[in-house]
Amino acid sequence: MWRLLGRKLLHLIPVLFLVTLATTAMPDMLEIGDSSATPVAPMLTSDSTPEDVAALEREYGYDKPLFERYGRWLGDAFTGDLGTSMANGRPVIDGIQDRYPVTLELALVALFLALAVAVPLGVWAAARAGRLPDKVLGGVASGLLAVPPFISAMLLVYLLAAPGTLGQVFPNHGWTTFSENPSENIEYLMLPAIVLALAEIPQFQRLLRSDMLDTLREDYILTARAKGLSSPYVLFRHALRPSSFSLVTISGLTLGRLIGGTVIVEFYFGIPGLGQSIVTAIDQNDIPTVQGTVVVIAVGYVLLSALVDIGYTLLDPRVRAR
Amino acid sequence: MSLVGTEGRLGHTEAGAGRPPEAAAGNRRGKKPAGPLWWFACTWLGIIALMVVFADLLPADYDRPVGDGESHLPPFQAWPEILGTDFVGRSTLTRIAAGARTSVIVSVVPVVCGIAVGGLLGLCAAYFRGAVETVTDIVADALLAFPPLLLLLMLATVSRHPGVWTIAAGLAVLSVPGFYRLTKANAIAQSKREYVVVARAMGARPGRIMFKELLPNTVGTLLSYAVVVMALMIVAEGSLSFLGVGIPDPEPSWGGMVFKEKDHLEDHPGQVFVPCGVLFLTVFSLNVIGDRLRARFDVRESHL
Amino acid sequence: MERNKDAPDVPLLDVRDLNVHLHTPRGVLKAVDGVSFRIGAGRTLGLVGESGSGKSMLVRALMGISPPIAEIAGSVRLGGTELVGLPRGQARAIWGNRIAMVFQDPMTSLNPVVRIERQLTESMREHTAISRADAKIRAVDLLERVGIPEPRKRARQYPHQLSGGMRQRVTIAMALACDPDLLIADEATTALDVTVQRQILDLLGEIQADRGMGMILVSHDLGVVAGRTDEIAVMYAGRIVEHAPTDDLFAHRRHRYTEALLAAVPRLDVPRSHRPRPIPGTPPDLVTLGGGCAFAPRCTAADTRCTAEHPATASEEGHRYACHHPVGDETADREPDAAGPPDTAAPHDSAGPAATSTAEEVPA
Repeated sequence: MWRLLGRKLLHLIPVLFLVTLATTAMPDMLEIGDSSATPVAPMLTSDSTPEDVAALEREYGYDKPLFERYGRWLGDAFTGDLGTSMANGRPVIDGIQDRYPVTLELALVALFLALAVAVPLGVWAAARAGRLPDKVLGGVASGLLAVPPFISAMLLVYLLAAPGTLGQVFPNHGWTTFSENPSENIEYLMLPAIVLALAEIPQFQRLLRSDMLDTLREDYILTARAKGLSSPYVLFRHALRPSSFSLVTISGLTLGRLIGGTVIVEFYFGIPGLGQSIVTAIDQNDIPTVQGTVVVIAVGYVLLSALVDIGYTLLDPRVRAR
Repeated sequence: MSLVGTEGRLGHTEAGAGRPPEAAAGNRRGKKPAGPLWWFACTWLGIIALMVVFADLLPADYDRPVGDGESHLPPFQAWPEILGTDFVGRSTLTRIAAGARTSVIVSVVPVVCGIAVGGLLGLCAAYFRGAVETVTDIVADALLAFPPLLLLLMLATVSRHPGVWTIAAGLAVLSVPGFYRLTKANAIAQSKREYVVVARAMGARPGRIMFKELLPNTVGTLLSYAVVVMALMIVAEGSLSFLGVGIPDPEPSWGGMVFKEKDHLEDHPGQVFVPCGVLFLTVFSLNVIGDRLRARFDVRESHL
Repeated sequence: MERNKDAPDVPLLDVRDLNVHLHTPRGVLKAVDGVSFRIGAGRTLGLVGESGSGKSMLVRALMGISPPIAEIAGSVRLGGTELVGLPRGQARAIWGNRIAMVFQDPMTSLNPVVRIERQLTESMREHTAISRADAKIRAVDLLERVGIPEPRKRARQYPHQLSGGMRQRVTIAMALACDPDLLIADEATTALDVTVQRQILDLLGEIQADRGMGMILVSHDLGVVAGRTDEIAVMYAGRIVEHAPTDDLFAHRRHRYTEALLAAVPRLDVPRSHRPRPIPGTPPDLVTLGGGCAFAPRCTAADTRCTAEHPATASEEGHRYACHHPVGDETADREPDAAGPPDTAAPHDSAGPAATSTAEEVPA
């Protein structure tokens, strides 16, 4: 097991290298599309001369070749310096520190909601495989799979957060942090979290259902039933855990994906998280902010996937023993 | 859906007790009859295809207000503007039809590129293994390390005002690792089979083995995956345009239509939900077809 | 081995005309077809047949773990309680409590992610009002009883940390958790090493004698059930083709299939010339089974009558069999329990069934 872990960690290094290099190369890609474009555009005014541009590019180090910039960026990054925002002059890392708890809360709540709904439904569908409840759930799941978050966001806002239809149950825009006001925080959180969860539920449900079907064919399920145990007990205490290994893996990866995927709901619901800051930064051509935020999210995702591999072992005593 | 059901029931037969001799095996390979969902999906995609082909024949232009220029005309109220008009009075029907062209470009181009590049790399990695595979694996992993929307946002940042083709190019990059992994896994499985071993032993050149032996047996799986990826690409373009960093306004795109109308959701829900509905039905249809293809090719795999 | 020989008035288990029909895509598979037998308290029945003979389906029907496609008809009475058609809620109180089962393969019949302790205590907690702490104590006692060293430590372990023999001891302990009246061992030793097989069989015998339980020992191997049962029922193609007290069966086997089964058992105490003879052919397809004797296609004594007409069950002093050409008296002088391969017996057309009764009739 440790050798496998070592190999995985070794594999991480080149992946992380490419991820960080790609973000450093963003300004170069900018100039491929349009030679007059410059990464320092947000700092310019209408009467800036080409000399001003060159001076600014020198100041930010954009005149240096890619690998030199990369070396410098890497060195800075290890000391916690991800550059300075061109839009507001603040260090990028400060902005990230302000915003990541919001995104993390949103992603975690969405993941929790998705699992809380998908696990019972997956178990139920497996227990009734081929019968009506299973078919109905399967149909709903494949329908939901075709609803992108931006559509479910609009639909839910129309139904639950607009005065017209079911009434304004939830606010449709804004944010309060948990420490400021827990109940308001939850109000603001609910709709975006539901939107994110809706996209994950059908995938979780399908996955668990098919793994449960495999488990229910095992002999030890017969043993459990032969003990006269009730069906719910057999399903949840005997079948669920051995069926949940891939669900756990996928949940871990989903958390990583959600942190990068909250962009749409943060944008639409006006939540001040990492995703919103990226969209704003794009609007303002603020490359250091985009770069820093993307790197943090991507590196987080890579590390999280590695953690998930390790977490696997906690669930399965057979692997744990090795 | 009924496919899923059958699988479950057969499972029980086998699990069951005395393992009745070959009882269930006979029926498993039988083709599923095409259900109403399948026909619905085909019909809808047919309508989309008609829109793509005949978009120019519609009376209104996609980038100019229709006749009297009334804005926010609700759907199903007037003829020929059956889907209503948008915030500046442009025909929703025409824009949906023209947006269908955008969707076809952003879904077909990346998938074709993905299959070409990813498929080729996958075949090479599967054939040569070793260092080639390690390098391509690392690149694929690095690409997959970015949440897909973030990669697109980076692209939007560096390309300022992306057109359809820029978006399509970005999506193509995104689709490569998936096709790469799928082809590789499939080809590795195939290359262990006897006919490939025989071909290799007979001294066939690598190119011949890859294209004559490995590729044809991977096509089915690739095809079913390609359909699902097309759906993902349409959603990705829609999401990007919804964020206002996709294809800019006068150019038609379903996501862009939603973006422009989203602030009028409460007063004019029709203008938001018509493009939403069209996008949903298209994605749903592609998923239905992809599921069916996958089930079919999996069956072939399993009894090879 | 000490065994309770008193036949009680009310049988512990009374199975009458039990049918288990599986509705498969190909048609109805009669896995169990009109089976009747009784077991007295403290008695042991050996149920013998090849794989696919329906013995597993039979005992699974008794345990309520038939596959969902199975349709069960007939009567199964456990000490007077009818199990067929009993609502699942009430039947659950019997399964695992009054009837318990030991499965074939201890590698797969224990849940790999649940500690031994919980797998032992859960049926006690389900069926009795025992406290969690007492259940744990009892679990350790049970492990000790089935011969597991360091039971306290083992209880806290997972199945993969135990050897195959140990695991089968655990499944036996699991079955004993609620002191069942009837224990079913379904090929309980088939998956184990030969040396371990014997230990497990001896353990089952001891415990059965100890507690006066009824027991059904299911096996494909006549050798396994020979010295350990009071009666043996031989199953073929979903039916019991011969049923007799163990000694009587070995001494005066009547059915041609039993004969062939005995000939197929390898033995050390007979000359090399008497090599075990495998039964030619394979068991019949239970979906397309016709009207004649199911064994006829593989039987050396079969004639046109066998393929055309289903043999009725004959009964001679508690020895039942269903064969048109039963094995004649020339094998009767053999030592009980020492049945070697029979001589090549010529078909005995004259030895028709002495006393016939219908298959449904249950002899007392």
